[in-house]
Amino acid sequence: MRKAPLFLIAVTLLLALPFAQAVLPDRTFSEMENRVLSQRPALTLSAISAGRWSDTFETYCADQLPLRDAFVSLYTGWEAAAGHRVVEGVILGKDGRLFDRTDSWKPRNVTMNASALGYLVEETGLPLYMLAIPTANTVYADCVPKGAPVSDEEALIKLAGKYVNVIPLLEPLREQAGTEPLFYRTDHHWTAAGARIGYLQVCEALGLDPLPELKLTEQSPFYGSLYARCPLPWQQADAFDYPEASSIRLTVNGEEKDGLIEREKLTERDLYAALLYGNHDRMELINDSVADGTWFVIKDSYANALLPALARHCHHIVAIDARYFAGNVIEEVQNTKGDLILCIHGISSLASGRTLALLEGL
Amino acid sequence: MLFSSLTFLFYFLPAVILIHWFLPEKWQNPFLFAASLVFYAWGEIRYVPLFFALLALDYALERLIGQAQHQAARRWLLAAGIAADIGALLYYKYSGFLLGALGLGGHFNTPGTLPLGISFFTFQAVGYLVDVYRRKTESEKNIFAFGTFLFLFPQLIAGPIVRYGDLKTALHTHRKPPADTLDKGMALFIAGLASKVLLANPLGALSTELHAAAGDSACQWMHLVAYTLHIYFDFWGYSVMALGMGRMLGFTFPKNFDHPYASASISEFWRRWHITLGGWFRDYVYIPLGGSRKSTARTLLNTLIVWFLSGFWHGAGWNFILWGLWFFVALIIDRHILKALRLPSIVRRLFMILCVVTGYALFSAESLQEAGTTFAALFSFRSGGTVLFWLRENILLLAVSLACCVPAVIEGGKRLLSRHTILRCITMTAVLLLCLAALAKSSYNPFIYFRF
Repeated sequence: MRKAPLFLIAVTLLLALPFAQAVLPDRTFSEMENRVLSQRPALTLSAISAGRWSDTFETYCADQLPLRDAFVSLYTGWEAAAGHRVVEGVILGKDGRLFDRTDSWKPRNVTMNASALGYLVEETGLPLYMLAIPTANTVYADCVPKGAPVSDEEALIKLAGKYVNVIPLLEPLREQAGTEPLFYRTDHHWTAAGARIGYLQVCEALGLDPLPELKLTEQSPFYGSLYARCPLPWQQADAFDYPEASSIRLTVNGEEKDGLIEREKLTERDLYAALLYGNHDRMELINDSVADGTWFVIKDSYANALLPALARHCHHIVAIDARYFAGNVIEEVQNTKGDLILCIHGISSLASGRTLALLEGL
Repeated sequence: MLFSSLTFLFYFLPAVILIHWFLPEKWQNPFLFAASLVFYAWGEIRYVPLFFALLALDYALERLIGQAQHQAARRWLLAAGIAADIGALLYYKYSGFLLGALGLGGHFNTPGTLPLGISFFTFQAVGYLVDVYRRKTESEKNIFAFGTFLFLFPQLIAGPIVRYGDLKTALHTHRKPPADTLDKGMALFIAGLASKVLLANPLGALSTELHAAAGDSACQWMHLVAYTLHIYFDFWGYSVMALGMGRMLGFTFPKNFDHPYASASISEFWRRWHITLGGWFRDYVYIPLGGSRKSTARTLLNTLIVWFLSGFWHGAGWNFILWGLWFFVALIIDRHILKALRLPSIVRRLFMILCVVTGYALFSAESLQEAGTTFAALFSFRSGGTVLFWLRENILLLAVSLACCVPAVIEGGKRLLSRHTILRCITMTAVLLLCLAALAKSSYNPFIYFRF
């Protein structure tokens, strides 16, 4: 068989991988993909005859492939080396920055969501302020490859301003973009420094005196959601700073949590998910050192980096996440008896879907 | 089971090749037949009864045709065989379309999915029955040899459409391919896999991406160029994988592609693209109809029939029929105008490229309306400039793909790798690893010719 070296190498490789798969214990969860991996399907006659077994076995093989993450990383690196700058909907920018592809966003979604908020103002009679957080695409526009498939976020934010009171944010972010990282390289969210600018802008809009910056603790390395989709072997990691605010109590769905940070999450890949224990349909922040003030917040995950600082200005914040909240939002606002409504949303969720417009009551 | 699926690569292929190699002769055909049945049942277990029904029927008929003495009886038996095979194809592939065309769409239940490879093995069966009828080949007595010929897994789902004569000798010998044949077979298989996974799949993604920029002329042109390359590397990849697996199992399949995009005219293109299908239509449709031996009008009609059927074979839809007729017209123009006028050869070559590329606007469309929209966009000559981004983005992919259409590049590469063993081992192992990486990454793995 010395005359068939390639045959032997290839067959050995093709047999070694399933052998390793059979010997190694199955993984249950993929942190990179944030999903449960499929397990070895039971070989039953009924599953085979229904034609299901072969499908589930295929999925099982793909999910449990030995060195799966390394293979995925290898192919991502190959695509980038071959000149691709859009990989799995992630745009590879300058300075190791990853950006979200956003050309499927629709102005119509912004109109629907913003006008739904306008209706909420009419129904509740409360003042509403919107903080529409842009993405790194706009803030670090000079790092985005020319002609890349992205939306005009400035126009979309302006469009929202036709229906609701939008707090200016884009310009201050742009002005500070050169001084410190305001958005993560590997994640679509803003950093603690970015959120700090958001905080200052909210303070200005509400006429509050800004308080000093919260104490930040660094946790590294951080590989965010954009990296998970496009795991380049040579990707530079981010540093993740999270705020500590001991005077504020967090309650998620009626259960009081221990601090504002979910400590277990700090050992996993997605560190951002540690902020305010991730995303929940309804949460409350209570600040015992301030006697009055109740705010109603409609938020997505961008707000998780900002709310700890804001919560220092009022006694009580009720925050709902429109993507998960199932109740009637007008009733919820009325029951809260708040002084104002804050909508803290990434422009991404305002433009990519109609989550606010689909809230019950709007 | 797709050739480019992990179950096929890890479990099925190495096991089948190794076991087959060590088996004694009398077990090889039954084993390959059983392996092909597993391959077939893996994707479409509910069509296994159809698999056995067609096998039993075609086997019985080929035996009867082989033994019958009376010409009339033989003719009736052949007619019955053709009716059964083509009937199965019509029922499973075309009943939905035909009922719809007759305005009876909602009145009858039609089979939802197409049985795997039915377009290929029914043609193979018909060709074989005709060959036995014409006494061009003997009737096969051994049902396992016959079943292996009809359903041999490497060519079951995407061809090549093999004639019994191509496999007859191999089916009746002890197939124990020597080491260098195993090596060549594996190299071919990996090359085919790479063509599918590293070229065709990203080209398909690019083509879809550009097609979505509806109304942009430049994007639609580039969509068609990407599609032209995508479909070639997809289909060629499958054919080369089949060739490679055939080698490793001791068979030599006929070549299905001979660098078609390097053809000098549209007539030549069709002699070099999907060669076994063209040969099938020539031998079992065109020549029996009289070919070009009768009047000019009759030759034209025969050509028209062949191109109508060829288009229709590719898919049950008006767009496929039109695609076939598109080439009928193109061939007439090529033969009777361009060739007759003795225009410079570049004209015929450019005409070929234009016909093939724009023809895919029909082929790739889901409906005639969609094809119309694409054509309108092509010739609107309005463009936003997004095409430049995607062109730069895929420049290497396009350059490599175009280079792989050039015979000298492929032949030179083959020579280089066959001479230098170490280089061959390193290159092909790296390519295989990259293919596995792509498969691990990709969920985008639909195979266009899977539903034929």
